[in-house]
Amino acid sequence: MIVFPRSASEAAAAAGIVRAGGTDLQERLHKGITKGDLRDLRDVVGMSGVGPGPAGLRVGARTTVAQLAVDPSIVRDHPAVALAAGGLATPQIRAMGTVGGNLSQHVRCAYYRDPHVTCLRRGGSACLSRAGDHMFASVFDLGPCVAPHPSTLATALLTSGALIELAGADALVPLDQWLGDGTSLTSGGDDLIVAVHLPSTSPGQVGAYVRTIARARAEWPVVEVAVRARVVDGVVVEIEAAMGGVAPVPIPLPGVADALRGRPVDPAALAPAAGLATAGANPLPGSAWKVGMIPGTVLDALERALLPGGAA
Amino acid sequence: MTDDRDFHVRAVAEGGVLGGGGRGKVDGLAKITGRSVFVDDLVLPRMVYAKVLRSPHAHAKILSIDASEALAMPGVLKVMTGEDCTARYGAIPVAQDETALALGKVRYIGEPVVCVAAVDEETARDACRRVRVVYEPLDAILSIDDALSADKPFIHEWARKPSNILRKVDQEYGDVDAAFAASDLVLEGTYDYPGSTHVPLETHAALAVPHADGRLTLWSSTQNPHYMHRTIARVLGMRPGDVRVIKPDIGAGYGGKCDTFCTDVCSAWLARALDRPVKFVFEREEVFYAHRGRHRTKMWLKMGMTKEGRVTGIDFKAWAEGGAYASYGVVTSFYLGVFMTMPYKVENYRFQSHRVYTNHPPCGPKRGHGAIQPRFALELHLDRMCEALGLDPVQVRLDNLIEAGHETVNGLLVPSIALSECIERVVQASDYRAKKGSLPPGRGIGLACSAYMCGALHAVYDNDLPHSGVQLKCDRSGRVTIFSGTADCGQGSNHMLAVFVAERLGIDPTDCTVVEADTDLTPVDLGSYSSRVTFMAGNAALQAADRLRSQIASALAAKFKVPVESLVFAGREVRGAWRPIPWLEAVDIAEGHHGTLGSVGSYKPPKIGSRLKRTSVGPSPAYSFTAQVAEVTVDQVSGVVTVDKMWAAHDLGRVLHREIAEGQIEGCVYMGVGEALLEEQAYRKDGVHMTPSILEYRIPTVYDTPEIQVLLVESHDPGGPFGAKEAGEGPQLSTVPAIGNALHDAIGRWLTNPPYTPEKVWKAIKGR
Amino acid sequence: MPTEITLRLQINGEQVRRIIPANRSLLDFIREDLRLTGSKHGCDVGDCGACTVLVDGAPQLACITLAAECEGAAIRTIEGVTDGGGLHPIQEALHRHVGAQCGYCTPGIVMAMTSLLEADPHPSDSAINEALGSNICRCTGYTKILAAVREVARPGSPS
Repeated sequence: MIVFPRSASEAAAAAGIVRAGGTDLQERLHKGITKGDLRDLRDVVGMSGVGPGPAGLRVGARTTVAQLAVDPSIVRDHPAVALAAGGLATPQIRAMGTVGGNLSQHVRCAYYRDPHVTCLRRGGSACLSRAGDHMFASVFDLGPCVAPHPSTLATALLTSGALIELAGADALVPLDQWLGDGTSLTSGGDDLIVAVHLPSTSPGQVGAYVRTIARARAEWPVVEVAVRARVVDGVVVEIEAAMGGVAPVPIPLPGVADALRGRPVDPAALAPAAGLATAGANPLPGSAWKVGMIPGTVLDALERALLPGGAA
Repeated sequence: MTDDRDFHVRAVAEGGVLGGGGRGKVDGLAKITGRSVFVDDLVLPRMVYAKVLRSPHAHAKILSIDASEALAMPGVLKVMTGEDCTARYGAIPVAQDETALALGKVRYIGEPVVCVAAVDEETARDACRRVRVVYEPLDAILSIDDALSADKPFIHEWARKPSNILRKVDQEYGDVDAAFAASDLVLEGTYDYPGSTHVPLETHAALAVPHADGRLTLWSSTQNPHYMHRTIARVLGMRPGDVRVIKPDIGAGYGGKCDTFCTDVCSAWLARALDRPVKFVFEREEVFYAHRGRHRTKMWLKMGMTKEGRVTGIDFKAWAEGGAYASYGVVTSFYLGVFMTMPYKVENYRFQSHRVYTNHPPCGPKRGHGAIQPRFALELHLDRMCEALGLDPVQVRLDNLIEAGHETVNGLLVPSIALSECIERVVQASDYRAKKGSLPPGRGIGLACSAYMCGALHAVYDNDLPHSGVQLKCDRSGRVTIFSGTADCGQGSNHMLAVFVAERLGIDPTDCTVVEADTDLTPVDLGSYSSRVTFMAGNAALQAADRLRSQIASALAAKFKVPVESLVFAGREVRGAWRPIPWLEAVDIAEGHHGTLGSVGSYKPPKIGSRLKRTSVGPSPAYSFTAQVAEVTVDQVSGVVTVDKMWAAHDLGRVLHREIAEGQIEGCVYMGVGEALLEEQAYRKDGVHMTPSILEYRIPTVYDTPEIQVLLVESHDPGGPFGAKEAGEGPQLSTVPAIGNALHDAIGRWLTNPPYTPEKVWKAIKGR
Repeated sequence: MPTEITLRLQINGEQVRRIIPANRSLLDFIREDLRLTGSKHGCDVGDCGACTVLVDGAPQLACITLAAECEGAAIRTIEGVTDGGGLHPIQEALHRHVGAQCGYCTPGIVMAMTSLLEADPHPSDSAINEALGSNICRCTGYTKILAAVREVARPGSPS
């Protein structure tokens, strides 16, 4: 019913549902939409904490979201990741939830979490949200399921070019590759995440994370945006942006970044750049309103990252 | 002996316990140490657990129920279905349409169908999943339009005269059409107020205990032990005297625990069937299905005004979507209109309401029952008319106020009102006049006022009995035990009772023990609803305390040869004889003089409201009044609304305990902010609840709650105990319209359909 | 695979050892096995904070914590908030301010605030909000709770 493996390889070899912080899993177990034996990562050695790694920083998969938010090297080298970690859910959920768990959590779609119906993801024949209510669904309709990807960390980690270390795998897998393109139901796969690697960055990193929500905290975002940048002598020398809450996978915003990279910071240029974030949006009838939320959220994140003193 | 007439007028404060001020409440220490005992904390020998299987269909016939697999499971003791307990019940005698478990038909997704008792909760839950129910789905009624349609099946097809309209109300006072003809401006508007639910932190719970003599004790998390007592006895076919209902500490209600729930009936029935204690505690999700929350209400309002700002007449229509059962819906249909004639003087008033059935969880009384929705419409409408006529919203409100002694056109008599002081104080504290229209873009300020009742003149069942009873016991220990049928849900009614008694006897509230809400031990009180407890039970407590005081005083007067009138009870002693007599000695003397000491007090509302021909709903012995100002910031990009601060001035008659009174008002404003910005009991097109969890229903966290400045205003109501009125519901009425009016000041749009979520506000800003 | 485990931990300073189902939540363990009923079920999925206890000094949602994961840990509940009985200053302040209306969320809030104040006796307003951010109170609008915490955090200054 429950096993406590002591190493990553033992954990990978064991059967059962992986349990790390349990913040998402306990709810699914309680509702009965997830059933089975547990393999609890409590005793696995070497899966917690942030330290040097082959690519730069290695973040153990059992590192808590709260630890990630305040880790000095993350705050310094990947500020958008730290801000995202500090901005999701509630303090106690952040204290329990882990990096690996945040990436692996299941979608928040009401149909998926309704034990009385069987949606596409739980073996049904159709996406019930697509035909039914989908006010908070994707606006980039990439695949069969319209639920947005729930991981805020994935959105922020995309801007840092994160790599995933999977149990038993020889090579690190780029995060965007691990997430997939949203065209299939499987994102991430079943292999146990051991760690997340963050490539080294040049000094002077700035970052921002902004989520548009109705409740001040503890809510899945309508739109969330992470921006990582480096400004040297008033010129944007590095910039990456990514957006979550709008598609079956967090999506990078290369158009927005390209419009600003290599140019002097110009407050007037930010809004036109932010406007590029909606390119390719193909919302459902009920989720179309969310498209309108995108430019403002992106702009807010760009201003916070690039302008001294943040957004006006 | 005490002259019972006007005893409260003579009951002036002299002991000095009124007003509160940093001394907590009598049951406060238990709460902050986690020692309060809630139903779920009780464990009894041989106790078993109940769980229910709920309907996956909004509207369907039950063709068959096969529980054989569940019954074969080890640890499963009993399976109960609707056929086991067929007596229909409901909160209001004229609308008894519920059974504990669905009978022949399911009427909403989440309706209880089968109840299983087992040795533990996990087994009971598993067993429920193995019960096979075969349904034949029916056309579902999922909107007000569906309910009014002639082409839909009846939800209560069994009724003598089936209709999907539970109640239609038509009232007219004065000449509305003539009033409109004589107006300078007549404005029409529509409003759509959302449904919302209470979300008490303690889920509904019951523990039923069978006794060797055939009696039954039911511990229930109820606000209304007396009504539950009657219901349980009737539904189980027992004599009322054989049922004992006890309400232990409860994790609040806000109106959500006024009804009898399947927890109560099923645990009671199963306890008798098994002859074992049965505990039944809802899981969080089930509370959203039990609901009884605010009716989603669509409204049409037409109002006339002179160019000077005098309100000439109101024509108002409301359609309330009530869900699958009546609950208090008959009463709701009246509350939707009855308070529209105050606090502004309206001599011409027409009102129509429909309270309809739909295949959703049943609506019922939520804090400010039925009055929240029309108040929202009226206060926004008033500001819209002020804008159209170029008038000052503050002055127009002040100019139209009723005065103490006013009888409204629909027959409500208002003994006290200090609303003009409330308005002046919030306007001044918030700097409303300087800010209105002058804040930077995206920021705004808004004002709204409201009126509410202090208990209903009529019980939910017709009778000529007291609404509140209090019994006092006092002996040589010096301790005074207060027995009362009231149900403290956290609002502090236990402390209020202790304050009244202590004040009159010159002792401290902590010298009193409050024994409440136990139908074997305590005299009847109708319960915690319609803001009646402080006013009604307070008066009963004062009467009982005055009678006990008279006993003690007469004994002391005889012994010390002083006139009764010269004795003053204060500071744990009685003064006025040649020496102060310590309380213990005074009680000793009295017990020796009279024999065993004790007294009773009761309260029955006066018969007032002569013009009330058509309704018994609305009249109250007194009314409370509120003025609120909201200041908001709207993020113009995302549409996110932040309430920066709320100012709330409430005319509560008299401050009995400062922190408790402020806390009630703060709680009201908090709940109003939730309804204004975040909360909605919404359903998918197929009738499934959209957000049955605390996380996704979005109740405000500490981050979402604005600073709230409370201003307590005293009007000294002539009928209130020590002049007190209610403070626990009325203050919520003005919160949402104040925010709505502030939103208009911020973005120049009237948003008539809360909650003000980012998508709605964003669309309004963009003009879509 | 084992369906039951032997659990040893310290609860309010006392060592306990119990054989429990492996999937038992810490909250059920505390309430059902140890009969410490001060910690409450509010949602069972980590949304409300009524079950907050201290695990090795840090506030934790007991409803979504497995008891099995607390092997060897030191747990403090509302019943053990002060060592020798009596009231914690935050309890005393909550009482005076009537920071508890129905009292159902109160044990969780007391534990969260105890942990905050033990780590930082003079927390800022934003630190107080952050520490209270996982606890839902449906009665008070948090106003009286915040007043009580601020009073303890900054004695003498107006709350």
